[in-house]
Amino acid sequence: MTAPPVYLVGEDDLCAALARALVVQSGKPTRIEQCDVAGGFGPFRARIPGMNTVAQRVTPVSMVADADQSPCPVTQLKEWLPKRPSDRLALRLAVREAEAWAMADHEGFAEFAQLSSAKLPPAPERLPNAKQVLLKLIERCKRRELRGEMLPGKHDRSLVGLGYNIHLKVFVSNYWQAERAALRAPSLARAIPRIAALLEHGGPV
Amino acid sequence: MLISRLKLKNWRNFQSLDVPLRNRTYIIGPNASGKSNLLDVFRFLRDICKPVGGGLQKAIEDRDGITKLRCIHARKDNEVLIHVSLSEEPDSDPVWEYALGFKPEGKGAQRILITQEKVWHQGKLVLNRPDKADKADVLRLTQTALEQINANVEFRELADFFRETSYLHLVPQLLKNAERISGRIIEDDPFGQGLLQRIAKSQQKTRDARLRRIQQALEKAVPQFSELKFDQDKVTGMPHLVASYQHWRPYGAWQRESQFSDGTLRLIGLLWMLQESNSLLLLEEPELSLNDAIVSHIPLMIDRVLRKQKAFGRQVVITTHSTMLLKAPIDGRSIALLEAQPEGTSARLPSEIELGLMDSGLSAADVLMPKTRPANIDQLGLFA
Repeated sequence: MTAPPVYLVGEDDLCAALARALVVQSGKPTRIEQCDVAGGFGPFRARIPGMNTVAQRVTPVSMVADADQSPCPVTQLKEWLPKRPSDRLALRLAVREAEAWAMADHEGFAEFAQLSSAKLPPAPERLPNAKQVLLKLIERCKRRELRGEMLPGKHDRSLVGLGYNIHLKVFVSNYWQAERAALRAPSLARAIPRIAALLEHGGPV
Repeated sequence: MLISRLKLKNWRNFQSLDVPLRNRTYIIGPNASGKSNLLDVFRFLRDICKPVGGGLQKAIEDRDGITKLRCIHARKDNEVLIHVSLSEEPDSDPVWEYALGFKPEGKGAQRILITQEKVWHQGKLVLNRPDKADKADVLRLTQTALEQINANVEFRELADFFRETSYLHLVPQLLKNAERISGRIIEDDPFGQGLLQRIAKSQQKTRDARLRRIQQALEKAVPQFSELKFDQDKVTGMPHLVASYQHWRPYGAWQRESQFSDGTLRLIGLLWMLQESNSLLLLEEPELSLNDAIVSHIPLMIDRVLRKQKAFGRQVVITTHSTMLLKAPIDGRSIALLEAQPEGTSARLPSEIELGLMDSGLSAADVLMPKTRPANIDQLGLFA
């Protein structure tokens, strides 16, 4: 018997990698049918109604995005979801930014970036700009490759280096552990059981 | 050293152009807006400086004469003028500046004469032609000082810089069918026909190291790709590349370059050229034949190879139509946008508003690509 499929959508590369890791680490027998990167907040939001239909008719769907500056993710979720959301659609928002979920796993991130875990933020979800904090950490990390490729060049105007997404994806798939990260990221702690339930009760209609 | 600024007058479809350049510059624009013509300026300067078969007159002739080279919008003022500045870093004061102007003499044999040739070193004028000797002997104005070893002593560095420029627009079919079409390799090999000869000519140790790096990249980009090596045909002596792919045969059959996919060959060409020297590199649409997932990594791949070569500062000018390529977090100021206008094409960098959009998280593809679409594309009836 083949494992039941699941469809994943992330707002950006990092969100998609996190969505994938959450499914893989859930321990439930499942098969990732597809994992899309929406490429921004607008396209992500635009895909919600379509993915709701997919959830109703074809496979369970898990979607991950940044909550950004929204004061209350719950209200935002309600605004985004269609009138009758399918039970098989899990839409999760990483509070403020997905980078907060990434940094919440102190042990994993310290190992990945080769820096002391004491330097990591104790409550990353409270940071107003998690991405900037992450870049600051990389600036001081021991891995030259990360400094060279994740940070923007000295005189560059770009926000991140060309290898920012690639390295973070490697981090999430090889170092990051959801259970550890959940200890410091309440919105992640809420997402884990929801996705586990989705995979448990999912499967073709 | 890099070319930090380019000014043109009446060059091909640019009646007037003034654009700053950086270590990586991406040139975007609609079809026929002049992306390749812009790259051609650097090839033109290289052709002038070539030690064998170079020179101004040859460079013009190779481009089918001045009437093809000059902007059709040039009416009253028919001088072609090229002005380049070379700096150590982008946005810093130029170390060298070179200006070359020429036009037909307007009578008799219509020889192409230099109207001006100037060199500045750190702001000081070191060459200023036409001088007295030129006025006494007009024939002297058919040759640039740049192309003459005796005349360019004081600015040899500049001539060397131009001469080292390399250009790549690899056409896989030319390379694959080399033996069947027994094609003549065009001078300087712009289309990569002679890639194998280039590889053959390099020292064995260097060659092995470069091919190893290419193999590492291909392992990730091409499914089932496992090994790449250089091979010389025992009978004909012709150089070849051979690759093996993982499949059910324990000793995978080796394939020659003629069996490689177009994308594989283009990637090999690109990766080889990046490693070959440290001088200005011109890349024409590197995204061709490649999967989107690979294309989005091209900017990082260029950086990575150059960093490994300890040549991170090497200047690479890239023309592209690819949205995927511009989705990478590229510095907005390294993109030059060509816009076709009734009086020739103009080039510009992103405006402050556009840079602001990119600062707030939009990609260059989101902000600039829509501006390269022709305004009337929807009314064209392309398929009517």
